Amino acid sequence: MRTDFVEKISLSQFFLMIVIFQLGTAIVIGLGQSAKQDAWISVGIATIYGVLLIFAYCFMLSLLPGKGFYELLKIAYGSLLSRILSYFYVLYFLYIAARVTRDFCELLTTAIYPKTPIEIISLSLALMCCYFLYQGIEVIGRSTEILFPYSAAFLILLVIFLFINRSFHSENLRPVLEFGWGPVFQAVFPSMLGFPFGEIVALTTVMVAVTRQDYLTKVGISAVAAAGTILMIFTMINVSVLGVDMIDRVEFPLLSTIRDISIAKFIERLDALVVFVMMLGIWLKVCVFLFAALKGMESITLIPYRNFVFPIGLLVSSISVFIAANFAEHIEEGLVAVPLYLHIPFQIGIPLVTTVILLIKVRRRKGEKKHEGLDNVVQSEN
Amino acid sequence: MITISVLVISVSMIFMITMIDICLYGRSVWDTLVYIFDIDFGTKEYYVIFGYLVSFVFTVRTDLSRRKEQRSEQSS
Repeated sequence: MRTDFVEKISLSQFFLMIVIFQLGTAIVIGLGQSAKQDAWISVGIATIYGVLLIFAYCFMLSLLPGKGFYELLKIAYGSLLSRILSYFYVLYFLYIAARVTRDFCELLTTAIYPKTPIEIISLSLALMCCYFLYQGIEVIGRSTEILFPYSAAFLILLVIFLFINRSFHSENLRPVLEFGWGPVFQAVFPSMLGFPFGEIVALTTVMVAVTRQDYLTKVGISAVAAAGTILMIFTMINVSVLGVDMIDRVEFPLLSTIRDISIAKFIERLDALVVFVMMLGIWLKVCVFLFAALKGMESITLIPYRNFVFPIGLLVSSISVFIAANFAEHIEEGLVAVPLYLHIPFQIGIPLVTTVILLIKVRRRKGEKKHEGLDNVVQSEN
Repeated sequence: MITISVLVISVSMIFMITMIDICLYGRSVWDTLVYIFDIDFGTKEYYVIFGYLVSFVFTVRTDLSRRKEQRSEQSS
């Protein structure tokens, strides 16, 4: 096995990873539909929450620079309890990776390959992600940097085509706040807390690989803000093109929006552009979640994570087939069980408690070092 | 150690998805397991299980060769 892998990513790669990670499935599945024409306001509020969340994660990592997420758990909770927590985090990240894989399979079987079994799509994605993970996080960062311009170009093209096609109907966005702030906040809490902004917790395992740690917070905040803005814009686009009634009924709003494009009966069926954007996002999400889980296994077993890549990757592929019998069940799990019982404890609860414990320990250590320093000065004077 | 870790995680994941199904739909444990793993002969679910089993075999092989190397290092 090669031992000369480099595990460093640049700030620009980190920025793009966050943007694509956030856009991933959210841009196609749509957010805040229960808020109807005010969905874009819900996304804006969720973006503010996302910015605060990444600030909190960067603050937690800055308490002990150079230490990764699992190392911080070890320092905060001790060896045994940190292994138990790491074990639960591994299960959580693998489950979310399986859910994201299932989203991908459902999209492809709906949009492009209706006769292809989801098992084949799931296996193909898993094998590809396993190969990237085996090569290391630097390869993933570089690939993100190379593929992002295509994704951005396709999204801009889609907006231009929608504009030329005169698909926008601004009256669909009115009246603003027709039912007040209630539905807007109900759309945010608790489902949008966990998806997509809360999933940044997986990126805490990647943050330690960033070269310039002193700019981590600024780059993280700007990346989340950029991703949130893009999501807000596309939410507005979906509502203005499809209308409130249609958005509730379609599985993939952006896909339905794009199908509206027909310019001179020549430029039509641009589904492939949307599928490319989603494929890139899902590939990155699965890679990051798998990486986070594998790093957890490395911290528990003290065996390099590359030994686990293929069996765990193919386990995720199998689990993605078994987690739900159909898409409706898959969505129901994601709306009912996952936000309350998984997202909130793992994204907010445990990191918050960890930050508090680390703050106390770091301040205590600084206090002890001050006393030691004073003792040394007193001794030298004597 | 690699084999045991992968086995533990695999069983834990199956337990986790079973528990989520039980919490959501209120079925019994056995009914949930049958529902999840309702694999008929000839269905394509065998592809993913086969893929996992092949990778598991390679994992066992890797684990055994690592242990052999460690033993030979210790004896030398």
